[in-house]
Amino acid sequence: MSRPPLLDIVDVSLSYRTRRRVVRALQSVSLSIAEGEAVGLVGESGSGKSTVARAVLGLTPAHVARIESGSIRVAGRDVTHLTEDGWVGVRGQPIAIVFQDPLSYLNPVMRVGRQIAESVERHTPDLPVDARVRELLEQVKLPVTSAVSYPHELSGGMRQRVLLAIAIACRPKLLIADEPTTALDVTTQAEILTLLKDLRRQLNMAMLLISHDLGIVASACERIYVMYAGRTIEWGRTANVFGAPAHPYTIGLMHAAQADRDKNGRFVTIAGEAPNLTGLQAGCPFAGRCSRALPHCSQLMPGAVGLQPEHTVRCWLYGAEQSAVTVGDGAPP
Amino acid sequence: MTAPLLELRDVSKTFRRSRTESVVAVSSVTLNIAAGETVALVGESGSGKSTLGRIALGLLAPDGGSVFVAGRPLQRLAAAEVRRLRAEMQPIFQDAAAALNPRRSARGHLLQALAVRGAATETEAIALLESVGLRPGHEYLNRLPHELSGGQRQRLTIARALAPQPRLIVADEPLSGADVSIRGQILNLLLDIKQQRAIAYLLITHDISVARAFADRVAVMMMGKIVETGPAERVLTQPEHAYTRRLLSAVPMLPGRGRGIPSALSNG
Repeated sequence: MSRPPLLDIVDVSLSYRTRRRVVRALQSVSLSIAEGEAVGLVGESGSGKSTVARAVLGLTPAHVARIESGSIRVAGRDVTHLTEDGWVGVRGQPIAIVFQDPLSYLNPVMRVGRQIAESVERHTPDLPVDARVRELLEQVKLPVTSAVSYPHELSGGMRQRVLLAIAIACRPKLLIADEPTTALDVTTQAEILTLLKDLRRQLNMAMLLISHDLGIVASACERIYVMYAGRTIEWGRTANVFGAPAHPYTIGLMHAAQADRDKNGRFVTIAGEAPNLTGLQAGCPFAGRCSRALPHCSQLMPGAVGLQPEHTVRCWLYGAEQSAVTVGDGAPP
Repeated sequence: MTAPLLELRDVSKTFRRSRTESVVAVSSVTLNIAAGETVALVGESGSGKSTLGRIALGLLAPDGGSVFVAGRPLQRLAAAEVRRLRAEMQPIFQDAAAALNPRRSARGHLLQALAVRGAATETEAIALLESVGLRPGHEYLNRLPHELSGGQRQRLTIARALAPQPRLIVADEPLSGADVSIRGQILNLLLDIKQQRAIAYLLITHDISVARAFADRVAVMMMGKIVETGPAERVLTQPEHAYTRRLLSAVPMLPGRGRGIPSALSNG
């Protein structure tokens, strides 16, 4: 690739440290997004997906979060250890973010039009504010009259549109959408997903869509990463990963998401629960729950194995001997 | 012909928001549940499904229409009689943490529920814990809700619901709080209960895949009305009502649904 990727996370390990304990939230996570690309990040709660989103914008709480190793580059520029002032050049432009719960990110006592205007004034000071706010409302398909509403007067779907208007006011090259539709009903969710698709096309904007819902990611993203316990365990072109899932966790997750039943009429489950991320663990974090675990799975974390072009897995079942790595090591895609 | 276990006949419920404004949450709904039957009530938030669930449990009195439990009209019975009938219908809620008393142990929760049928013994409590997969039961007796994981908390609320030996469980979004990988475990537990104890379910859910996999019959609710009802497979594959079609088409599907995903993993 001649141009550097828009976002390039290489082998990042991040931990949250308090006096009492250390939580290893990310371990050797690598993820990249090219311009205009839609990339999905799926995993269950506690898998580290939101930590990825926050780390990219310097939003992890500074007093406890520490990037131990690896690097994060935004359009070629290293942002791994930026200061608070330095992040100003990243947040909003080139990277904006929308969250799951718009109500807690909107000011309850300010009309939404004013809140959008703040973003316009900050990021495009030379544009006429009122006209730009109207244009943004139209882009997110809200009636122009909703500018005078307060957040509590709008429905959940409309609030998410307001948040999107604030985000695209910055003219981002990459929009991070962290569970943007989780709080919404399915029909509203479908509308927001369609809107995201339209906005991406109109604005030539890349997207990192974070979700626990495999169906959403499958329908909206070209490439996906599956996270488990702070690690990326399988990634590649969406059709490849969901068409031929390789990691036992991905397979289990797909069955569970569809409420599939086995031959005996039982719902397919993944035994046990996600591991606690405090302290150091050796080996694959899924080993304890995996029905196909090999003796060395709990000792050594496998390296990345390419299964086909644009489909990679980190699992010993696929002959990872060549790239055996010890704790904390990893391989970029 | 025997009367259905639960019969909602033309029930309505309106909530007043202010002097001038009111919301019709449930509007002339008729729904029967036979003994041992599983009915899924699907619809979006605000469609009235939870209100209907509360009416079915006798927690809310309808403004119009009537509720019959095993043929007996709930509203016309004496309070003591209602209490007895209510033990036969138990709720499971979405948010297990909120449904449990944070300062009460598993033992406390179960003994209280067992007292309803005069069986408040530790042996019974342990048996209940083990029947919902919290084994060995005695190790869980003293745990407070915060000392349990999310999945374990939901199991405890299920154990509590089973304590009075109900014939109907109204489960209001019992899976939405759980992670995807835990969902199957809870579903299997509900399935076991259904098969072993012949309990009927009113399963309130917005999740179509759960309704399809679990229910015998599906009722689709929109704006306080049931717009379509029928066998789960029929309603969810050949919907007749436009709203059901819209609801189904909005659900994002995984590619390869129904095709052979490697079936390597099945260790539930």
